[in-house]
Amino acid sequence: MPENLNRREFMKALGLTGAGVALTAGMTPEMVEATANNKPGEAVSKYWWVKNVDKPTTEIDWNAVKRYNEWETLRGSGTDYMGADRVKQLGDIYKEKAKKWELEGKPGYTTKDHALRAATGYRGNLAPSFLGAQKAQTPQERGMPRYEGTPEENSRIVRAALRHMGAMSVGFVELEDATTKKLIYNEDPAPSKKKILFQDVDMGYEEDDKAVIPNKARWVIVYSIQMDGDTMRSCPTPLGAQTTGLSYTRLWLSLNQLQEFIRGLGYTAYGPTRSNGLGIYPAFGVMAGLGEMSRTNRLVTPEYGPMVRLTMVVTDLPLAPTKPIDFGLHNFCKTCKICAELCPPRALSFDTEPSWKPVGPWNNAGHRAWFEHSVHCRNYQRGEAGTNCGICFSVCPYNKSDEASIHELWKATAAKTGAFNGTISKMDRAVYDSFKNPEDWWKVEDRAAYGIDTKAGKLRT
Amino acid sequence: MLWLFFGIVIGYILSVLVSKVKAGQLAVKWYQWVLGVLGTVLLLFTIQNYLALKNLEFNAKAASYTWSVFGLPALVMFALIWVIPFVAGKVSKKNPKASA
Repeated sequence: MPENLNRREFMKALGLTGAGVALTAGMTPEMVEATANNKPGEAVSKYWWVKNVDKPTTEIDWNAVKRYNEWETLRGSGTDYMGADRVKQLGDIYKEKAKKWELEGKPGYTTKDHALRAATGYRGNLAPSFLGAQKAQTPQERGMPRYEGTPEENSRIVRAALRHMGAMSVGFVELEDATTKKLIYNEDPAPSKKKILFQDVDMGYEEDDKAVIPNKARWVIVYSIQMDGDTMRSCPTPLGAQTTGLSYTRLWLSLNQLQEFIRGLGYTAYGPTRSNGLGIYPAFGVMAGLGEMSRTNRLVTPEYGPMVRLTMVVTDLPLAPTKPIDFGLHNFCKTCKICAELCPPRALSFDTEPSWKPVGPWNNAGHRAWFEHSVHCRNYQRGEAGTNCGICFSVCPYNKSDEASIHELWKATAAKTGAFNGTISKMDRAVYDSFKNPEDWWKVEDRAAYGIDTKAGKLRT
Repeated sequence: MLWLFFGIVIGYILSVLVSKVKAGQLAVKWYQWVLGVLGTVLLLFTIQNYLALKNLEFNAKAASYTWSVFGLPALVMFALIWVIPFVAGKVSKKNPKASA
């Protein structure tokens, strides 16, 4: 305390503090209130300067209002209001302009812009498919040359497009016969069990017993969709499990849109014939640097831990491969073992070191891992939980949304040294609620959209 | 906004301290500066983590631990700013020869 603090200065400090408290309390309700739930009868509660009123600010004469026919808007009756000839004329004018602008490379009207528009406009059948919906027009079909760019430029626009479509992280792998091509499945999932073949053909094709990828399609785009870690903490209930379902819906929508985008650029993108098909997504995720393999035998990412779902396409669009990463997770898993200890059917490995030896034919040999007993896991899923469980996802210390700065601090520490891994793991188990009362989930009305943090990388503050 | 407010408050306190030290009205030892900075950093760290764990990660249990794990050490740091010179003063009064 300053020794000669006089009354004047004390009052000055008090006044400033009081003003600051008032300002802060008024301007940061989302940080100060315990839960920013709406009061009954409120649709918007975020801003203190929004007031609820009994009548809208638009004056309405309900006596004069009649039920309207939607087709009478310009959407339905444009030709009546403007004339069919004029509507056709406007369409022809735009077509000519669009062609000219695309050839000139006018910003916003380039081939990649048209490709993205066609892609995000896709809202058809969501199920994954080998060839994709094939609704988007290729540049060639529009009389345009296909998009050309360097592998680095191509990677950049694919990543920009996928992030816009909802992906979290995006990586690229080049297929090499001796290595990464072996991560493509020999046969796709049941019931079709289609053989996946590589042939010297110009276009891939699919028949009842096979899916053929051209040899020139040498690049894999593998990406993740984020799941809601807080919702997963209601596992193994249907409430907890449905965040997986929601993520798969978003995954398949983005997968279809990605295939349309690549098609719109003038290239091809081959996807799984059904969910989890085409290749080993976590393996490609590791090779592309989306994360590391963990004790759960799944990919764990530095951003949101295991709270991701993955998918991939094989494409002939040249891409710049991304490197694997090391953020200390593999080392952390040696010490931690929370997932193994809390797995009810004891399906996960308790070994400190990973092993080359698979536990059963459900594992793929050739890498050193903490192989799981999938039969134990599935028995619990089907017989006890009635869902796909998710306990190992929920309890992983890396399942954190990084809002609190402590998470980045300990993750960075674990990445640089393993000396504190045991302490970090014990503290996480002691202080962090990995399981929550599902009824409490329903009390939060304004959680983030999809329950996820959609900011990434440098956009985070 | 919250952090802007903290910045204003901390900036004001710092400016008052520095002006008083320059005017010779206040003597602040080097270890008091260090304790003050560490205590402030820990206190801000506590507040950020408490609010984020409680309101953004919906984890009240983890949030409650931030006060004991980080907040308490912050308070101890601030307390030491006065305790250390107080104790040192008492020791030198008891042993005037040793402090001479």
